[in-house]
Amino acid sequence: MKENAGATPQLHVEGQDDLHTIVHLLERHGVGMDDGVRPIDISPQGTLSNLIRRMPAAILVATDRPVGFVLDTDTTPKKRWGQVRERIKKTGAVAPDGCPTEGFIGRVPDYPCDFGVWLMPDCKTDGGTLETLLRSLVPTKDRLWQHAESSTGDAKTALGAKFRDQHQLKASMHCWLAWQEEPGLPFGTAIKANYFNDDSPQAMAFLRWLGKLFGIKKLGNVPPATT
Amino acid sequence: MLTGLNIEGYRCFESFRMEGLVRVNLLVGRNGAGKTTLLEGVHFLQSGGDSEVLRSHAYRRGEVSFHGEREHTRVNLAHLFRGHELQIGSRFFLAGENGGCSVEVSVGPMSQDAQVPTELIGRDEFNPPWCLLNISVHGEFTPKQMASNPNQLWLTGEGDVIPHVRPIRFAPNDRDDGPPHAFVSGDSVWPKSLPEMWDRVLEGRREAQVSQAMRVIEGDLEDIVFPSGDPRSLSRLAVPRILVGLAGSTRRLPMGSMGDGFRHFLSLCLAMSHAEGGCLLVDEIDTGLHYSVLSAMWKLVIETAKANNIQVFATTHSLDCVNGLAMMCRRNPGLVEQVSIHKIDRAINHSVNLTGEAIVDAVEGRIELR
Repeated sequence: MKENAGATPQLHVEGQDDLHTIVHLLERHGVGMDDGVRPIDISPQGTLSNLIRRMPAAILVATDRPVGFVLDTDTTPKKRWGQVRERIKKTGAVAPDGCPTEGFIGRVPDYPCDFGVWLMPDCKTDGGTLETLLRSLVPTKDRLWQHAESSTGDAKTALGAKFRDQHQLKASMHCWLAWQEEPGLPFGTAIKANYFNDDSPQAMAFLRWLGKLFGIKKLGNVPPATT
Repeated sequence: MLTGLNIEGYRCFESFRMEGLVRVNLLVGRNGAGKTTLLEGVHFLQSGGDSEVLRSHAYRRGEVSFHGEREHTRVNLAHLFRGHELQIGSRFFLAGENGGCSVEVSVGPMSQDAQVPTELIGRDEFNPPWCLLNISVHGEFTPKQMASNPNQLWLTGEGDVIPHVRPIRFAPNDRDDGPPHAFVSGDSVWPKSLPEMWDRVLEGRREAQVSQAMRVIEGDLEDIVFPSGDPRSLSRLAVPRILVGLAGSTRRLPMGSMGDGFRHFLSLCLAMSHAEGGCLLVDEIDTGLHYSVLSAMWKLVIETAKANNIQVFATTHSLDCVNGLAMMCRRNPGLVEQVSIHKIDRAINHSVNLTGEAIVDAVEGRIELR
């Protein structure tokens, strides 16, 4: 007998930028994300601490569907994974000492479905964020990017721009977006407008993880990781 | 108050465990997950193994067969067992933690010297061999409380109940002994139970409380009246004749004019009044209710349950109902510990429960709990 349809699987992320970036990245790869057809619901949690705190509940109530979490690494993958691992332990699931570079996929004992964790951008880069992934999608040898990056650096060092050091990449990204055909588009819309590529090794690894965790057939064409 | 529940071999559950039960427990899960089955199981357990509860739920589910030229209705209890089949040795088991009792229901052979009522001999629909449904109760229920309940039923080999003891009565809310219990289905309580419940409201002079509670969904309500009349009309009407007085109106209106939500909520209010000191079970608690009143509905249910020592088990499919509960918790921190949500999925052998604060946090994070 066919099982009754359950709820749409959820991918929990930090904020709206994560939501729209992932939506449009998926659509660039042929995955429909409109109401009624999307394979996953993406749910921004507002802050990293909300996301980490809610992990055990979100994992445990997903008895009949996979569930995923995408977090910025911010510090070191080891430190961030340590926090994640403590939350996973509360579900009764087993997590390795370090985050696998292909993304973590695990299972609560007796559950029929998996849960997964991805640390932006690739589960291994120190200080990684959503912007790190987006940086990998800026067309190579883009001269505007080089100028945006150096200008942002000059603004900080020579003109007293007030952004914090850890936000240098974010500032460069928004600077670069300000110089596109439609200035100042948000990340997701900029992906839709093809200002970004969609196939950097980091993005493909992320999509492979998503496809495997949620069983998204359209992502079956994503090439396997090269070693 | 039950804090946990263990089930073996009951309907769709091979083995299932619930923990963390509190004052008010909301069961969620997809269609066919077993939410209503759990409500019925708790009802049977909290009734002290009353066979009438088993029979009434089977009847409500339409688990019946029709026999004879006059198509007599026979309740079939085979569906209580795994695989919907009944044979000698079939059994199921329900046990509560922290109060109540445990109940084992098993099927055994009919004894050789059983006195078969003469009116049943030779009737095709009651062809032997028959079997016995044995209900064994252990725990806090006294022999006096159990004395009025037959602890054996006679069944045909297919599981049809043989009515040799007494006619089936389909009003499981009317027990006079043991802790009170009331079951409100998605179609409200058994219609004939409403006047009986109202009589008890009158006896306790609680009609003003019921009207006050009903104003959660109808602010203009002034009073509710159950008119006396020909009792035979009860058997002809799907819903008893109940009149509703509204502010500014010169005449009372039939309750049927007020919509299904009003009828369901009245059933809920009367059942709460009936279940003081006992157990209330409500299937699809949000039936017919607009999302804007759900938080107030929960506040009423939880405060009433706390004040009158009622343990409540309810189900819903509605996100609005879950959100209403979370909103109630956020606005009333003092009631948070009275509430839990239990995700039911028989693919795993236990429920997943969240308590008040975790419910608020999960709903704020739009985590799908259902």
